[in-house]
Amino acid sequence: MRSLFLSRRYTLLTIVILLLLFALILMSLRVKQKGGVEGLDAFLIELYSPFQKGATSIFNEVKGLFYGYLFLVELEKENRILKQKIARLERENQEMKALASSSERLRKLLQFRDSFSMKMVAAEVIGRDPTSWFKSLTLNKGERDGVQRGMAVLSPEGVVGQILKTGPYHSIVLLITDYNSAVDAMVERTRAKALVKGTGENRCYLKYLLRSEEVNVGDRVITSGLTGNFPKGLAIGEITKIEKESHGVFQYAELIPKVDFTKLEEVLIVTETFIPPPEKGKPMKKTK
Amino acid sequence: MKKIVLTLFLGILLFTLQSTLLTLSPFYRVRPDLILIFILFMGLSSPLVSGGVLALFFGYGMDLFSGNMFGLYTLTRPILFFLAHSFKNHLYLERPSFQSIFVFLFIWLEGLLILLLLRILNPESWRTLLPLLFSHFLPHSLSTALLSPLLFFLFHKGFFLLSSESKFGSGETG
Repeated sequence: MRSLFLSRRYTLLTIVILLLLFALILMSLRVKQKGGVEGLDAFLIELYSPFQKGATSIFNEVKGLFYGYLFLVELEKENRILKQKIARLERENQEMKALASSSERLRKLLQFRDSFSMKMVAAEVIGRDPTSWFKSLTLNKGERDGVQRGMAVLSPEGVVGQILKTGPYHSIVLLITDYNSAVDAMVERTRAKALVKGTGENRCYLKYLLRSEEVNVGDRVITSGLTGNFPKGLAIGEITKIEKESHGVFQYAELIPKVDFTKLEEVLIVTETFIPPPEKGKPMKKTK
Repeated sequence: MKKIVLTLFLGILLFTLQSTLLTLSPFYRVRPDLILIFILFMGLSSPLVSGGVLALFFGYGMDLFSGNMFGLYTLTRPILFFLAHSFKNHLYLERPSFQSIFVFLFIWLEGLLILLLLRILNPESWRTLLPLLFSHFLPHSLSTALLSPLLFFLFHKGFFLLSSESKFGSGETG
């Protein structure tokens, strides 16, 4: 009886160790490939995303109803008919406002897209990062729509991030505010080159910005176009803080992104990558 | 089996809430970790093997939808589950305040474990994330701890209703 108990205990312990080993293997696969176990990732993205999509549309509906109707339920009885009419009109009004706001956003998005000659795919934000350490978004477009890992994600206000993981119909975007993110950039006024890195909060900082460069608070930071995925000249943010120490090669500059990530509903994915010209004067080469 | 499938479904629903509705809050720092509470509850009430596999699955999901490139939650979530499971007979968790403290301690344990792993895997990011410990992680852990008694109560009711219909993971012992 005792040996049966012990053998059962050891079996359970073995299973626990095997499970933790399996977790470590998955972790090392991610570290090695920087992309995870792709087939499993794609399957799980497609498993979770419909729930996110459904929940997002339900919440949007409920939000609309709340603003349009719920605050009217306290009206007095004798005015019920009138109130119902008001409620209906209010709801219609809210729906119209929501429609107008949506049209306005889409118009801006279209205008923005038309201002560039590159190929873009519009996508909706259906979910956000579930953790408190990292920054990402889930989009309703995936490999079937031509979305690939590393592609740039933009909004009319500026750079959002780049595609980190893809499934057939959904994808995950790494925001520029995530500590893992790095985008080649330059200060618009002085053309000083640097790397925009995320801080993990809703801010970024400029890395490798030379101490000799004269930058000011309020200077705009734009993409330099030196990497293949971001076209040149897109707004990233505005410098809010500069720290220059008496020694060292580089200076520290903090910037606030142009895009308000908490209110982002639609984005554009650049489905073309740009290879910067090797010599000055030559046209920009596009690859699909 | 039915209970495992329902647990899986409930976990996915909680994940959906965490990555959609809870992110809409204007106080973005105050975002409770529903999945963590659920995994800790499973640690106290579910069998070792099926619960461990589910904790690993939910951790993998967290990694997949976050900007995390190392698969940290795939490792930390089963560890938390096994720890909660190991201590379940030594803890008195009947009172809501004890449940909150229990969850608070475990969420900090996970936070420190993540920072430690990041220090090993990517020392530079560790330095970037360290300041977030008090500005972001503290409100996050407090909100999670405060919500945990209510969720523990609801999970307990749900599991009680289910166990009156079927036996969870028959053939396994906790």
